[in-house]
Amino acid sequence: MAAKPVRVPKTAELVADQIRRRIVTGELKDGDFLPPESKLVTSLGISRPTLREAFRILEAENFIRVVRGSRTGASVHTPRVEAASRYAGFVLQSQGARIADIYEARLAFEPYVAARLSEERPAGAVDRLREEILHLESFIEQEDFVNFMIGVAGFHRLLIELSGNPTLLFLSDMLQDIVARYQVRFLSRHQISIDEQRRMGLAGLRSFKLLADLVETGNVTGAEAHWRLHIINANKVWLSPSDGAELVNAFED
Amino acid sequence: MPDKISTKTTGVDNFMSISLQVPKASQIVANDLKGRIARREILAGECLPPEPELMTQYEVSRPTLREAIRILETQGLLTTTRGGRKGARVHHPSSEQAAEQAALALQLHGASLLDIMQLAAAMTPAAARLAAERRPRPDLTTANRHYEDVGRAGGDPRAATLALHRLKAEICALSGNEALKLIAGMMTMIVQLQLDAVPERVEDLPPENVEHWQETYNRIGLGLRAIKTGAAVKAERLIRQSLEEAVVYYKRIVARDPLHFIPDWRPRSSESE
Repeated sequence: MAAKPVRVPKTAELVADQIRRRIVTGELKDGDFLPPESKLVTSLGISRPTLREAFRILEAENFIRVVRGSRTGASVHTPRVEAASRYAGFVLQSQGARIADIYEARLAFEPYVAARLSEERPAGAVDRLREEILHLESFIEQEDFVNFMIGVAGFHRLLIELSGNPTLLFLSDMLQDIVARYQVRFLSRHQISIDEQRRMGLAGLRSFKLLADLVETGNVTGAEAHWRLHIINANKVWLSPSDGAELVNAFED
Repeated sequence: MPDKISTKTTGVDNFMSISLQVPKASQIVANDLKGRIARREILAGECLPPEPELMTQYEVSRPTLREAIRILETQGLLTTTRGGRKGARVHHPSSEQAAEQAALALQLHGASLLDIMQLAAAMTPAAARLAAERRPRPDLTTANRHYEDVGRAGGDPRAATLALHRLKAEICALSGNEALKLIAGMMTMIVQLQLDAVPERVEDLPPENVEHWQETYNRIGLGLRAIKTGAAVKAERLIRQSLEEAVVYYKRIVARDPLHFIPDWRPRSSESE
């Protein structure tokens, strides 16, 4: 824990700091244009090369986008959740993450989320869960299993959303992005009959209903144990030993 | 004021865009280039082949190729130089970059230290179990060092918080699960950005925290020992209990200071890159 040596920042860094602060505080919004170079150079009292270096810093950090040769100059481009999420997926692929890793990570989070929900029981949470379940039931009745599958992912997301942790929600979306692509590939490989899909769907819904009940009654350990078991069983559907070893594929084939 | 993360997932888009949409030519080219970078066919620091060559290889027009390169540039995988005599320079997807991007995106959306602590309380026990189950046994040298740092940081709550977080990240790295490892790395970055939320002096901590801390600290040590001996269930239980206590400590700190500002984002301290 040695103290870092004091370093005098360069002018370009100070300028970048100023602009970055305005973006982080929301004063400059996504899509806004910065004043043209000539104006900034005058108002900040700096040289053009210094300004350009500040722009390079901010561009490397994905805060602004400079369109070369454009009259309008640099525009603000806040790091989007989706872009960060995509990049993370790409890193996972590059590190040789397996699909089973992703499913295992979800197993680490979701039972905990179920426990927290049962403990805190935010207002309206159980109602929203039951509402989602009703939607899912209608998809099964219509034999619309594509939307059912999407809805199942939505139910998992809803749990995390209700638990009130935006960071976890971001991570869950990131993992879900990867899982969704995998599931599409999986389904193209393994044909499942309509009857089997209905059977699995209804079983899944029974499990969702039980979770809603456990959350409603504030049964913390029960909710966690139930949801852990649910996810373990659900993972088995998607992960045969050979499928699970498949590498994460962060983009379309 | 930071925007809320949109509550509607692009769930429909995830599925539909994969199976139904016809991708644009520039996307196809971008994906192929990404694949070549991911498979290390092009190494970091190297340049892509020059534009005319790529145009021939992919049989696309210059605007399409440029669009594909721009896509990779916005994703931090390439940098293009002015004049374009050399091709675009490749950067490999790095977990540090991923962590920074995630940390920034989350910072703008109001991610808090409490979020991270709760996440860690969920994730790290599972990681501890996985680490304990690994054969051959994982090397706990780094983990023990972080543990000792926590102990040594006694009078400095911020240093202790950071060291504890590094320990959690190391346990996640030891799990062998790349997803947990990446996530933990992101969390460490956010913690560094949010350390202002922790009081600077022990005197400013709620007394109940200080009272019970030694017990929690010892329990973490036992958890590490359980990982070492391969007692997976015990490791999970001990780490879980300790980290849930840490959440309680932190909630007491936050409860005392309801006006928690998102601190200024600080520039990277490292000069390289």
